[in-house]
Amino acid sequence: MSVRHLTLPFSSPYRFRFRAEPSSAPVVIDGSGELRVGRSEGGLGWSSRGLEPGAVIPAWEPLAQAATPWGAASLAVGCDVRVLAGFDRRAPARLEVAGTWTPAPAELSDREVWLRHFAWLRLRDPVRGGVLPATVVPDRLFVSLFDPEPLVVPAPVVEPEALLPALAAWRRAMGAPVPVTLIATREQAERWRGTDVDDFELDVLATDGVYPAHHPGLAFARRLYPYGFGRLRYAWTDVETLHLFEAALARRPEAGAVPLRLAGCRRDGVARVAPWSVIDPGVLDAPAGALLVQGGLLTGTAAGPEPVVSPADRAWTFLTADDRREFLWFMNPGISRDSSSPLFVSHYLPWVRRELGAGLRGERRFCIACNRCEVHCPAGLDPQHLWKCLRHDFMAEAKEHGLARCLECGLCSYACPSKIELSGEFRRAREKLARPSAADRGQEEAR
Amino acid sequence: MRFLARLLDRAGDRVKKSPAAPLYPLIEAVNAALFSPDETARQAPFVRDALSTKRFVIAVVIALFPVLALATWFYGLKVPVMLVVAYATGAVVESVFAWRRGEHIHEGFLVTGMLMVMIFPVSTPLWVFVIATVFGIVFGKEVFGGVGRNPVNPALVGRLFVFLSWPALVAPSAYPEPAYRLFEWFSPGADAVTAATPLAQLKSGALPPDASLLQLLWEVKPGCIGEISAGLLLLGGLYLIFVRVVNFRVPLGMLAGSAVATLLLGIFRPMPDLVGAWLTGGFLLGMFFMATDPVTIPATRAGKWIAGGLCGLLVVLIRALTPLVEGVMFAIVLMNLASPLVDEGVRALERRKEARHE
Repeated sequence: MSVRHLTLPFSSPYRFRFRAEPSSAPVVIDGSGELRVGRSEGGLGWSSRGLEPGAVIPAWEPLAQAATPWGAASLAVGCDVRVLAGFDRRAPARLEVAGTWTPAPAELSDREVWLRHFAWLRLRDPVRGGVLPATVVPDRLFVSLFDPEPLVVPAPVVEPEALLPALAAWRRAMGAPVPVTLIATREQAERWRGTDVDDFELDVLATDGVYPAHHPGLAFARRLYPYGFGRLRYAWTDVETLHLFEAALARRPEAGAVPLRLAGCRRDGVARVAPWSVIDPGVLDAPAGALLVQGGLLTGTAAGPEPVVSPADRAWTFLTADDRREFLWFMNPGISRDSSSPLFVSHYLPWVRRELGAGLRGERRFCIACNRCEVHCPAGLDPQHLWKCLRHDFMAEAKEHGLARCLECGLCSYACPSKIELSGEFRRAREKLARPSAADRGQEEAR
Repeated sequence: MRFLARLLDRAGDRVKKSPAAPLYPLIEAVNAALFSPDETARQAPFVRDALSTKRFVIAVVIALFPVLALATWFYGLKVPVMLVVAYATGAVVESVFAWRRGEHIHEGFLVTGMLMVMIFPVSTPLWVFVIATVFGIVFGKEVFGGVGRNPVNPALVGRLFVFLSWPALVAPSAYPEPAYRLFEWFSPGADAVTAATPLAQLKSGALPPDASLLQLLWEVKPGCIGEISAGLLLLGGLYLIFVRVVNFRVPLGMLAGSAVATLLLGIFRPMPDLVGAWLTGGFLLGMFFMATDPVTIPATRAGKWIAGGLCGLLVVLIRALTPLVEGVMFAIVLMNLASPLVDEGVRALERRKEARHE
């Protein structure tokens, strides 16, 4: 069966130019030896039976269980841990690392390794948002070969010979011939010409390497044949995750750590840190006053004073606040389409001649209906209308207008001159929609 | 400047805790107007575009500034004084409403005040002008919830109010001839050299035969303050489209709509020259600066074309078939009122198309 090649007609009017070149040298970061696992990790509710303070849980033994409509999911760590505190209503469970990382026991099946290794937390549901539970066998897997966010790094070279075994390992764990779509830049897609796969369906989707073209939701929103929207269960991940899981199956040591691209601090590079470990921000050598963002500038979350490495983290970005406040700053109407960072002026934008400011001070979120959000929306929605629907609780109208098609890419918030938190609002509304009500869950279980 | 910034910050902090706390929004507004914000995003995205509402508003003011300067040259000191009066009145009204609502002061009145000056003749008495400004901002905008919720352009509401209340004061017969008056104060008695506007001449078919289109574009014309030069309005409008503050769909739709209406009406009766009609009266001013007010036009793209076309059509119909000389004001207000309906219709059609796809 030959590989099917598709093209996504998407080119943004606008290219983000956050740029940093992480060196390939690995950066060594040690956690504080404490792990913090949240109660709702991956969007599931974990029960803390067995998490008695003082108990020692051996490596790869389930720490916690969660019921899903598709069976029980379990959470495990690749080293022996001593329990300091169980799950609280608010606070995460605290575990002390009591041993070094060990490979999974040989008797664990591929499927069992998948259910226990943290790699499943890196599979997202591109339609509904959030993490796809490990117990679900998706109807199609999307793999982004490039990640334009948070930083425009050159798209990596992905050789078919390297990726196909990793895909095969993942499909072994699924136990089903899950079709796969690779989302690639045009150059990356060229490498896959002439490749044959024999036992499953593989599409290569060539796009402009522009944010957010790597998002599978764009292919749905643009009604790209042959994918329907929202009827099936889709999964979305990246190449790193597949390699991580392949290493876990092969019992290789790199499977024990999350690969993190660091950008903006003095130790740029790829760090490998144990999942859920607590990091002292001091060891990262960030500039004074810098804010650590877990994830990209457009979709990440601000880290607290004690950052915890989330298994889903792919990159950590640092932003420095600029304390320079300009006099009569607005008298220079920005014609520039550059993304000068206003709220935090990042120090790795040296070519922005003037760091123009714009922010929340004095702006009380009046929508002036300028429609810049609509211009930027890659999914073709009208975020302004959607936001007004949500504000007035017109959920039906919001759904009808296509709340489900929102990619949560953050471009509407980025463009809004009134600095309205559009995409945050949409994310919350989508979470509310995706959360199955008790009645739905009962129906699923009955089936 | 850093000293001033620190002073304002400190004053704001102190006032917030003192019994004078209700005055805090005022200090905050001054601070926000003078200095770039120092607040930070608390959730993703952590970078924001540099174009803020303040820049949006100031771009319109910059685009109209050359017209204002030219009008000052030809109509005298009363023009800048009118601007100051409009801004002061607008600021007071806006502050009172913002204060009562517990909101920050929005800078939208900077545009409204500028447009107020543009759409009145210099012969308007200042007290009428103040009443028009207050009426326009209160009944055009604030009663509907303030900035971003006004169904019609507030400046036009003020103008319509005067048009219906004191018609003689703003009638075309009161338009003075532009002449060099830079350091003079315009007084209607002494300077009442009124002239027929080119639009009126166009309507009666009495446009002087030597008046070429180029002259209409570059020469100063009697009329409201903002109608003095079609060329500068055109430049300002193109600048706004270039910096993407103004959507190009509405102006183009208006041009198309008026062209279609002129062609259709031309079958039944003689019509004035189309390009001449564009360059005279308030057509360019309305097209670039009023009809494009994003709050009052449809949000959908197709809706913008439709509303623009409708507006152009109405301008021609009102100018040709009613005793009124100028129709832009009414056309824009009618189009503004129709916009929600246009949006509804476009969205319903889109949804039907979507349903067919699934």
